[in-house]
Amino acid sequence: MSNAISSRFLVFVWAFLVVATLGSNVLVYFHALSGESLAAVVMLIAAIKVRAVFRYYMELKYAPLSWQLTFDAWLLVLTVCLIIGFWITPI
Amino acid sequence: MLAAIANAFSEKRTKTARIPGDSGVFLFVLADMSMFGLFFLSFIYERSKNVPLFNESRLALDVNLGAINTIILLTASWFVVVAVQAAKRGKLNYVAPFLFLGFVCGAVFGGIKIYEYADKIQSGISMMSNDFFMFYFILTGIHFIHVIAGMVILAVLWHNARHKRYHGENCKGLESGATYWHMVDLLWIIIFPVLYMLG
Repeated sequence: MSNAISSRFLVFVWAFLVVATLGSNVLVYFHALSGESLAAVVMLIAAIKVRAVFRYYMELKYAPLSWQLTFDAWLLVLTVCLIIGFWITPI
Repeated sequence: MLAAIANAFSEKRTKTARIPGDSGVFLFVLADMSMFGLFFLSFIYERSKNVPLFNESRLALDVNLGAINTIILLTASWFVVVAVQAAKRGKLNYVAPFLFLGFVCGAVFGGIKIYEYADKIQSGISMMSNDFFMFYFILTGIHFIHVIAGMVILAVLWHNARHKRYHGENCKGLESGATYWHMVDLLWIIIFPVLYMLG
Protein backbone atom coordinates (compact mmCIF):
# COMPACT_ATOMS: atom_id res chain seq x y z
CA MET A 1 0.00 0.00 0.00
CA SER A 2 1.62 3.25 -1.12
CA ASN A 3 2.60 5.68 1.60
CA ALA A 4 0.61 3.83 4.27
CA ILE A 5 1.66 4.48 7.86
CA SER A 6 1.73 1.45 10.10
CA SER A 7 -1.05 1.11 12.64
CA ARG A 8 1.46 0.69 15.47
CA PHE A 9 3.18 3.93 14.54
CA LEU A 10 -0.16 5.75 14.52
CA VAL A 11 -0.75 4.54 18.09
CA PHE A 12 2.69 5.87 19.00
CA VAL A 13 1.82 9.24 17.45
CA TRP A 14 -1.43 9.37 19.44
CA ALA A 15 0.38 8.46 22.66
CA PHE A 16 3.00 11.14 22.00
CA LEU A 17 0.30 13.76 21.41
CA VAL A 18 -1.50 12.83 24.64
CA VAL A 19 1.71 12.82 26.70
CA ALA A 20 2.72 16.19 25.21
CA THR A 21 -0.69 17.59 26.15
CA LEU A 22 -0.44 16.34 29.73
CA GLY A 23 3.17 17.46 29.95
CA SER A 24 2.21 21.01 29.02
CA ASN A 25 -0.48 20.95 31.68
CA VAL A 26 2.04 19.82 34.29
CA LEU A 27 4.49 22.56 33.29
CA VAL A 28 1.79 25.22 33.64
CA TYR A 29 0.28 23.80 36.83
CA PHE A 30 3.58 23.64 38.68
CA HIS A 31 4.92 26.91 37.20
CA ALA A 32 7.97 24.92 36.25
CA LEU A 33 9.38 27.83 34.24
CA SER A 34 9.26 31.61 34.34
CA GLY A 35 6.38 33.28 32.51
CA GLU A 36 8.02 34.07 29.16
CA SER A 37 9.97 30.80 29.02
CA LEU A 38 6.83 28.87 29.94
CA ALA A 39 4.93 30.45 27.05
CA ALA A 40 7.73 29.65 24.62
CA VAL A 41 8.00 26.02 25.74
CA VAL A 42 4.23 25.43 25.76
CA MET A 43 3.82 26.98 22.30
CA LEU A 44 6.76 24.96 20.95
CA ILE A 45 5.16 21.78 22.29
CA ALA A 46 1.88 22.81 20.62
CA ALA A 47 3.73 23.43 17.35
CA ILE A 48 5.37 20.00 17.49
CA LYS A 49 1.94 18.46 18.09
CA VAL A 50 0.43 20.32 15.14
CA ARG A 51 3.29 19.23 12.91
CA ALA A 52 2.76 15.63 13.94
CA VAL A 53 -0.91 15.99 12.92
CA PHE A 54 0.24 17.55 9.63
CA ARG A 55 2.66 14.80 8.76
CA TYR A 56 1.11 11.63 10.12
CA TYR A 57 -2.65 12.28 10.31
CA MET A 58 -3.01 14.56 7.28
CA GLU A 59 -0.26 12.56 5.52
CA LEU A 60 1.63 15.67 4.48
CA LYS A 61 4.78 13.59 4.97
CA TYR A 62 3.98 12.09 1.58
CA ALA A 63 2.69 15.25 -0.07
CA PRO A 64 4.53 17.32 -2.68
CA LEU A 65 7.21 19.51 -1.12
CA SER A 66 5.34 22.70 -1.97
CA TRP A 67 2.38 21.65 0.20
CA GLN A 68 4.63 20.58 3.05
CA LEU A 69 6.50 23.88 3.02
CA THR A 70 3.28 25.90 2.84
CA PHE A 71 1.76 24.25 5.89
CA ASP A 72 5.07 24.34 7.74
CA ALA A 73 5.39 28.05 6.93
CA TRP A 74 1.93 28.72 8.38
CA LEU A 75 2.92 26.90 11.55
CA LEU A 76 6.31 28.58 11.81
CA VAL A 77 4.99 32.11 11.35
CA LEU A 78 2.12 31.58 13.80
CA THR A 79 4.29 29.93 16.45
CA VAL A 80 6.96 32.62 16.27
CA CYS A 81 4.37 35.41 16.44
CA LEU A 82 2.63 33.81 19.43
CA ILE A 83 5.90 33.23 21.31
CA ILE A 84 7.01 36.80 20.63
CA GLY A 85 3.56 38.08 21.61
CA PHE A 86 3.63 36.33 24.97
CA TRP A 87 7.32 37.22 25.46
CA ILE A 88 7.02 40.96 25.02
CA THR A 89 3.83 41.07 27.09
CA PRO A 90 4.96 39.11 30.13
CA ILE A 91 2.75 36.54 31.73
CA MET B 1 6.65 -1.10 18.77
CA LEU B 2 10.23 0.25 18.66
CA ALA B 3 10.84 -1.46 15.33
CA ALA B 4 7.68 0.15 13.93
CA ILE B 5 8.84 3.58 15.11
CA ALA B 6 12.30 3.09 13.63
CA ASN B 7 10.81 1.92 10.35
CA ALA B 8 8.48 4.88 10.15
CA PHE B 9 11.30 7.39 10.65
CA SER B 10 13.55 5.69 8.12
CA GLU B 11 10.97 4.71 5.53
CA LYS B 12 11.55 6.13 2.12
CA ARG B 13 8.87 7.48 -0.13
CA THR B 14 7.76 4.43 -2.00
CA LYS B 15 5.40 6.09 -4.45
CA THR B 16 4.77 9.44 -6.08
CA ALA B 17 4.13 12.28 -3.67
CA ARG B 18 0.41 12.94 -3.34
CA ILE B 19 -2.15 14.92 -1.47
CA PRO B 20 -4.69 12.64 0.22
CA GLY B 21 -8.17 13.32 -1.07
CA ASP B 22 -8.97 16.41 -3.08
CA SER B 23 -6.33 19.15 -3.31
CA GLY B 24 -9.16 21.70 -3.30
CA VAL B 25 -10.06 20.58 0.21
CA PHE B 26 -6.46 21.09 1.30
CA LEU B 27 -6.59 24.58 -0.15
CA PHE B 28 -9.80 25.26 1.76
CA VAL B 29 -8.19 23.89 4.93
CA LEU B 30 -5.21 26.19 4.45
CA ALA B 31 -7.52 29.17 3.97
CA ASP B 32 -9.50 28.28 7.08
CA MET B 33 -6.32 27.86 9.10
CA SER B 34 -5.14 31.25 7.88
CA MET B 35 -8.37 32.84 9.11
CA PHE B 36 -7.79 31.34 12.54
CA GLY B 37 -4.17 32.49 12.34
CA LEU B 38 -5.40 36.06 11.97
CA PHE B 39 -7.70 35.55 14.97
CA PHE B 40 -4.74 34.36 17.06
CA LEU B 41 -2.59 37.32 16.03
CA SER B 42 -5.47 39.66 16.74
CA PHE B 43 -5.82 38.11 20.21
CA ILE B 44 -2.13 38.63 20.92
CA TYR B 45 -2.34 42.25 19.76
CA GLU B 46 -5.40 43.06 21.85
CA ARG B 47 -3.87 41.29 24.85
CA SER B 48 -0.83 43.54 24.62
CA LYS B 49 -3.11 46.53 25.29
CA ASN B 50 -4.39 45.15 28.62
CA VAL B 51 -2.27 42.28 29.86
CA PRO B 52 -3.53 42.26 33.48
CA LEU B 53 -7.16 42.02 32.32
CA PHE B 54 -6.39 39.12 29.99
CA ASN B 55 -4.27 37.33 32.61
CA GLU B 56 -6.94 37.66 35.26
CA SER B 57 -9.82 36.69 32.98
CA ARG B 58 -7.98 33.61 31.79
CA LEU B 59 -8.13 32.25 35.35
CA ALA B 60 -11.90 31.80 34.99
CA LEU B 61 -11.31 29.10 32.40
CA ASP B 62 -11.04 25.44 33.43
CA VAL B 63 -7.65 24.22 32.19
CA ASN B 64 -8.48 20.62 33.05
CA LEU B 65 -11.58 20.63 30.86
CA GLY B 66 -9.54 22.20 28.09
CA ALA B 67 -6.92 19.45 28.38
CA ILE B 68 -9.60 16.76 28.41
CA ASN B 69 -11.13 18.28 25.28
CA THR B 70 -7.71 18.30 23.63
CA ILE B 71 -7.21 14.61 24.35
CA ILE B 72 -10.74 13.86 23.12
CA LEU B 73 -10.10 15.53 19.78
CA LEU B 74 -6.68 13.86 19.45
CA THR B 75 -8.37 10.50 20.03
CA ALA B 76 -11.10 11.35 17.52
CA SER B 77 -8.44 12.13 14.94
CA TRP B 78 -6.73 8.83 15.63
CA PHE B 79 -10.04 6.98 15.12
CA VAL B 80 -10.52 8.77 11.79
CA VAL B 81 -6.98 7.94 10.66
CA VAL B 82 -7.57 4.28 11.52
CA ALA B 83 -10.79 4.35 9.45
CA VAL B 84 -8.94 5.78 6.44
CA GLN B 85 -6.12 3.25 6.75
CA ALA B 86 -8.66 0.43 7.07
CA ALA B 87 -10.37 1.53 3.85
CA LYS B 88 -7.06 1.70 1.98
CA ARG B 89 -6.11 -1.77 3.19
CA GLY B 90 -9.45 -3.28 2.23
CA LYS B 91 -10.57 -3.89 5.81
CA LEU B 92 -13.94 -2.41 5.04
CA ASN B 93 -15.69 -3.70 8.18
CA TYR B 94 -13.57 -1.41 10.32
CA VAL B 95 -14.22 1.83 8.45
CA ALA B 96 -17.73 2.67 9.67
CA PRO B 97 -17.15 1.73 13.36
CA PHE B 98 -14.05 3.89 13.66
CA LEU B 99 -15.76 6.81 11.94
CA PHE B 100 -18.59 6.39 14.43
CA LEU B 101 -16.11 6.49 17.32
CA GLY B 102 -14.69 9.70 15.90
CA PHE B 103 -18.21 11.13 15.76
CA VAL B 104 -18.85 10.14 19.38
CA CYS B 105 -15.66 11.89 20.45
CA GLY B 106 -16.85 15.01 18.65
CA ALA B 107 -20.16 14.80 20.51
CA VAL B 108 -18.38 14.48 23.86
CA PHE B 109 -16.24 17.49 23.00
CA GLY B 110 -19.41 19.40 22.17
CA GLY B 111 -21.04 18.39 25.42
CA ILE B 112 -18.09 19.63 27.44
CA LYS B 113 -18.03 22.90 25.49
CA ILE B 114 -21.74 23.46 26.16
CA TYR B 115 -21.16 22.78 29.85
CA GLU B 116 -18.33 25.32 29.86
CA TYR B 117 -20.43 27.96 28.14
CA ALA B 118 -23.36 27.37 30.50
CA ASP B 119 -21.06 27.62 33.49
CA LYS B 120 -19.65 30.92 32.28
CA ILE B 121 -23.06 32.40 31.54
CA GLN B 122 -24.44 31.31 34.91
CA SER B 123 -21.46 33.00 36.52
CA GLY B 124 -22.41 36.22 34.75
CA ILE B 125 -19.66 35.99 32.15
CA SER B 126 -20.57 36.62 28.53
CA MET B 127 -19.02 37.74 25.28
CA MET B 128 -19.68 41.33 26.34
CA SER B 129 -17.91 41.03 29.71
CA ASN B 130 -14.52 42.14 28.40
CA ASP B 131 -12.15 41.74 25.44
CA PHE B 132 -10.69 38.45 26.69
CA PHE B 133 -14.09 36.81 26.94
CA MET B 134 -15.09 38.26 23.58
CA PHE B 135 -12.12 36.40 22.09
CA TYR B 136 -12.87 33.31 24.17
CA PHE B 137 -16.47 33.01 23.02
CA ILE B 138 -15.74 33.96 19.41
CA LEU B 139 -12.65 31.77 18.96
CA THR B 140 -14.08 28.72 20.69
CA GLY B 141 -17.52 29.37 19.22
CA ILE B 142 -16.29 29.46 15.64
CA HIS B 143 -14.19 26.39 16.36
CA PHE B 144 -17.28 24.70 17.84
CA ILE B 145 -19.16 25.39 14.59
CA HIS B 146 -16.30 23.73 12.75
CA VAL B 147 -16.58 20.73 15.09
CA ILE B 148 -20.29 20.45 14.32
CA ALA B 149 -19.58 20.67 10.58
CA GLY B 150 -16.91 18.00 11.03
CA MET B 151 -19.40 15.77 12.80
CA VAL B 152 -21.85 16.18 9.91
CA ILE B 153 -19.06 15.19 7.54
CA LEU B 154 -18.18 12.16 9.69
CA ALA B 155 -21.86 11.16 9.71
CA VAL B 156 -21.97 11.27 5.91
CA LEU B 157 -18.72 9.33 5.68
CA TRP B 158 -20.07 6.79 8.17
CA HIS B 159 -23.23 6.34 6.11
CA ASN B 160 -21.21 5.78 2.92
CA ALA B 161 -18.78 3.49 4.72
CA ARG B 162 -21.66 1.31 5.93
CA HIS B 163 -22.41 0.70 2.26
CA LYS B 164 -18.75 -0.15 1.64
CA ARG B 165 -18.28 2.83 -0.69
CA TYR B 166 -14.70 3.52 0.41
CA HIS B 167 -12.00 1.03 -0.54
CA GLY B 168 -8.53 0.82 -2.06
CA GLU B 169 -8.38 3.38 -4.86
CA ASN B 170 -11.77 4.95 -4.06
CA CYS B 171 -10.94 6.85 -0.88
CA LYS B 172 -10.84 10.45 -2.02
CA GLY B 173 -14.05 11.48 -0.28
CA LEU B 174 -13.04 9.71 2.92
CA GLU B 175 -9.57 11.26 2.87
CA SER B 176 -10.96 14.73 2.19
CA GLY B 177 -13.41 14.46 5.08
CA ALA B 178 -10.66 13.16 7.33
CA THR B 179 -8.43 16.10 6.35
CA TYR B 180 -11.12 18.56 7.43
CA TRP B 181 -11.50 16.75 10.76
CA HIS B 182 -7.75 16.84 11.42
CA MET B 183 -7.83 20.59 10.79
CA VAL B 184 -10.48 20.93 13.49
CA ASP B 185 -8.21 18.97 15.83
CA LEU B 186 -5.04 20.93 15.13
CA LEU B 187 -6.79 24.28 15.54
CA TRP B 188 -7.85 23.27 19.06
CA ILE B 189 -4.26 22.19 19.79
CA ILE B 190 -3.36 25.88 19.37
CA ILE B 191 -6.53 27.42 20.85
CA PHE B 192 -6.11 25.53 24.13
CA PRO B 193 -2.71 26.92 25.19
CA VAL B 194 -3.35 30.40 23.80
CA LEU B 195 -6.65 30.90 25.65
CA TYR B 196 -6.51 28.53 28.62
CA MET B 197 -2.90 28.11 29.65
CA LEU B 198 -0.83 31.19 28.96
CA GLY B 199 -1.14 34.66 30.33
